[in-house]
Amino acid sequence: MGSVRKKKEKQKDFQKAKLKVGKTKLKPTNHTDTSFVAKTISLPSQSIVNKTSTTSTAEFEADLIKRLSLTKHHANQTRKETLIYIEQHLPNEPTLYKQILTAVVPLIIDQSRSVREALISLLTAASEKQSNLMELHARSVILYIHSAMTHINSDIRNDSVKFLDILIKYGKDAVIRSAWVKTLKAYFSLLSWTLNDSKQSVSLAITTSSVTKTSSKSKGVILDSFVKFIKAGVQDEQLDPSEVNITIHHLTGKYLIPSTPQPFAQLKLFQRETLADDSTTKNKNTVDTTIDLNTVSCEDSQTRTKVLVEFFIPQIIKHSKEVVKEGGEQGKAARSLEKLCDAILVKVKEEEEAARD
Amino acid sequence: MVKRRTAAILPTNIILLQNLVRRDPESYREEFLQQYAHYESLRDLFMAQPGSQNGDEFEELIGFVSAVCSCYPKETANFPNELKSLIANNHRDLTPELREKIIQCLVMLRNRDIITAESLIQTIFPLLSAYSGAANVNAQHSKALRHQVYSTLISLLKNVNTGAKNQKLNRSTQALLFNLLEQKDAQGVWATKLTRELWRRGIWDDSRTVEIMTQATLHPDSKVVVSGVKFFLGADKEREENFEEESDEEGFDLNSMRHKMNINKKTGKRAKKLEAAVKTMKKKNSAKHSATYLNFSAIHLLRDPQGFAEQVFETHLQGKNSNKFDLEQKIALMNLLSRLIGTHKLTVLGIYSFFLKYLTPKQRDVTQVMAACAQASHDLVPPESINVMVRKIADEFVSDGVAPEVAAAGINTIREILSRAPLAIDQTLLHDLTEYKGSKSKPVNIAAKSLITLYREVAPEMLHRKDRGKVATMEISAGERNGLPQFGVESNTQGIPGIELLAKWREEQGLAANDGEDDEANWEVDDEEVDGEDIEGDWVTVESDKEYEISDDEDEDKKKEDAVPELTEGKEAEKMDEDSDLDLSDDEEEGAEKIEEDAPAAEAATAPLDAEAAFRELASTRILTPADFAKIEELRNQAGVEKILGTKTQRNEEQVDSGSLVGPVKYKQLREERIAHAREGRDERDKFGSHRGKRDAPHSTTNREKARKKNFVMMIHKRSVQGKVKRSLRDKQKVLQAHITKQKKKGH
Repeated sequence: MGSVRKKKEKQKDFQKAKLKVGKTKLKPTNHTDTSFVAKTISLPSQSIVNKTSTTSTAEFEADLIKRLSLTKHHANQTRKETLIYIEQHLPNEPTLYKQILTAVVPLIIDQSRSVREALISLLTAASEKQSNLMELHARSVILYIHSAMTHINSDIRNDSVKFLDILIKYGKDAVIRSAWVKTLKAYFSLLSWTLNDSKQSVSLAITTSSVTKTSSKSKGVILDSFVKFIKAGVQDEQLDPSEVNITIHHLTGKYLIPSTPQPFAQLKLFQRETLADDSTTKNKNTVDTTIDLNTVSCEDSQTRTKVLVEFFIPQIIKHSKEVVKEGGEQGKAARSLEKLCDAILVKVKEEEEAARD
Repeated sequence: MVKRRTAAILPTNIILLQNLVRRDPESYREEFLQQYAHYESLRDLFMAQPGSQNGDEFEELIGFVSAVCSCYPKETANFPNELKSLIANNHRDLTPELREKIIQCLVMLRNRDIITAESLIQTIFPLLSAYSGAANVNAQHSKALRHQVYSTLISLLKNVNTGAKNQKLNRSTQALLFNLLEQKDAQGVWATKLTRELWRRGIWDDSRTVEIMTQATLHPDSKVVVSGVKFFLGADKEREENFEEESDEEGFDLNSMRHKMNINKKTGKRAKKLEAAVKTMKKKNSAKHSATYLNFSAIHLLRDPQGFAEQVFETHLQGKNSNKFDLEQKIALMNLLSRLIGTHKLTVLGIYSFFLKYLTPKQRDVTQVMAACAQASHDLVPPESINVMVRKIADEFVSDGVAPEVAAAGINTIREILSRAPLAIDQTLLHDLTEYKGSKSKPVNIAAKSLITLYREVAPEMLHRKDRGKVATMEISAGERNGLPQFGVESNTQGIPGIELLAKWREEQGLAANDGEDDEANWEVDDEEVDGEDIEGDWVTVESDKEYEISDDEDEDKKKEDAVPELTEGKEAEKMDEDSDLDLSDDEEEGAEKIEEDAPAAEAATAPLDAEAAFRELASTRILTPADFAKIEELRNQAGVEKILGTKTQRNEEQVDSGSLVGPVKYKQLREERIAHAREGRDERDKFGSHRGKRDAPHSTTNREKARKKNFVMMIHKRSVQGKVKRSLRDKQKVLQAHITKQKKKGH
């Protein structure tokens, strides 16, 4: 009998389990149950607790960098708020500033007025905090300012001088060294003044610019900043003799390590720029005498003064006289510009005479 | 209001400013200068940090400056160069949109003649190769760019070459392509693509272009090679199709348009339409006739076909070199090589033994290989080399054990080969093959018979006596055949083949040497078949006063009967004919004399069927008109000269269609196919029955129809009816005459 039982048991091993409709499939014998039950779920990335309050500096930095991308947000409200936030949370250490500045500076040509205003206050605050900031980044900032000064939108154009004012205030050295001629020219186009008296440039722009109401007020602002810029450029950057109480040879400075950042930038060793063909530069003189100025480096005040006197001052005087006649705030500014120009001319003459003697 | 007025003069966006500047560049100079300065500042920004975000504005400004560039040439003298250096040096940093914009602007500048076409090509051509292949990173943009550059190049070259060809630009572009092909990578494909497209459009059609493709064909990269080979095999067909399409397009009827202009209301719009139509018509016609377009095929324009063929064989097919190609490519190469050999009658002896490897029934696409075999053989190849191939085909394909299609393909191929090189087979093998004429399989049967027909013409001596046929047997027995054709002996035809037939025919008809030469009708070349009627028509008019009792159709029959016997029977009957002709034309004033002079010459000519003498005689006295040539063709067909002369030797340039080698294979149709076939005929035909009262196009009743239906009694008292009766006889006659002529015209 036992043999029958054994037989059945043996057969059982090889019988196939039947599948039935509506029943789950039987688990195989070697199945391991891996299911588990947990009582809490933790989601650290979504924690409600504010991170800034916990302030480890690294976390704070990460947050700030994250916010920098919001400067490209499509809503101008968001951009403005981002700027304000950055201004309120300006870091102490200088490492982050480069990143901040590269993200923020393109907003100079932002369409929205409120964003630009926020940016002005941000830049002012930042350069208050980091005194060398503007000096260091002047090259990239001035490019955006130039672009703003020539922008087709008049509001952006008018606001551009405010940025330039900040630059002159906190980092004038770099600006006047690297972009003297260009900025002068930008001022001319900003004021819609002509650089040469050719007949073809009897411009409609002069007449049209008076159409806009804001122009007289903003023109005053522009002229004021123009005065500042010229002053900054013409000023001697030599150290006050009162501060130095040891006598040194007057050529010593040339053999010392230069005190300014990027002293050899005008050589353009590490810069990529479009090359002008020889064929095109040949006929330049007939077109515009100032274009070949692009190649002149204006590292010292003498050259700057020379360039200014030779190419720009006559036009400045001529145009500012016109503006003076219009009177008002701009007239005042123009008067001061005129005075400045006269002073420069006198100074140059004196120097020339001194040199002759 | 104020705002609007301000906007009109004070531009607030670039597009508005562009519009203003284009209208009045002088006044808006300052605004332009400001924007140009803005462009410069943005450019500097871009150079300082490529890929900064204000790409849109920069793009817009570039577009603006290049649009108004022509207004301020002095101020913007440097602008084109800046754009060029930007795209040439910084194209990797540019966003795709900006890249596209710059290319567009450069094209715009070139269209305004600010930069030259050469410099444009030199700027954008490198981009083609820079953005293809494995080097590029972002695939979809680079594709768009390549497409843009490519289409720009094509349209530029097309524009430059309309009217007269700009050879200088073509040369410089071709030099660029040559340089591209000198590199060893797959970039050369662009050169071939460009060349092929330009060839297809008929813009480039000289031997220099073909030289580019030969270089591509000998390129180390297989992709380039294949595109080169495909060019030689297919480009000419493509070009023809292209031109056919173009000629189809000019479908509108100018006359009907003019007519409509006369009838319809005259409006300015319609007048302009007509003007435009006339203009396009003129342009098309002039382009067709004036363009210096040569339709030489690419293979004919090769500078050194022998060298080229040898190099192709050595570098691509011989030895291990062929391993880099797959079978289709190899077949394409074989096809090209064989066509080269056939067309130019080259000697590349290696290829015949090369083919042997592929000549087995199991080989994939073997019919194409066989077609290549046939194309590669011609009468200047030593028969021994071709014989090897023929023997191999016979061994592999033609035996009792194989399927009928295979055997048929084998025999057909052998026939094609032998029609080009008749000496490449020995008699025993030929006898073996002709035995298949009794095969039960239709395709084999047909193939064997066609082989026999071929040898009846070429060398009947090699056939069995029973296969030779009547004509050949008679010729052999008469001793007219001068034995087997020999290798290296060319049978050149001098003069115009079949001219002696024309001479004879003219004498039969009694025409003077110069007759019909001045007749305008003879010079007209009909597009359709020149039917016999036309030609008959003018000889009737020339000598209409004579009593020729033969009517047109009678003549047709008579000629058909006469022509062949005349050839064989000899001169007796013809002399009789001529005599009678002379008798008939005796009373003619001038024609008769001339014929009498010609008569002895004609006799001499007709007797031995001497082609040279006939040619000399006829060509010296007369200018042959197109009608004459048509007649020659007709006479030759009748006389079966085609067969005797063995014009098959001219077949070298023909392609062998690989599909036809297998012969007609008829499979049983499926039911669906049969139904479809039956339905084909039924679909477009109407129901049978009368068309009376039915209209082609739906329309309401016309006035004419209404008038016809009008009650007779209502009409009878009208003046238009009554007046008809009261007309004078003269008027009635006039009307009747007019009616008759009108009806006659309708009939035609």
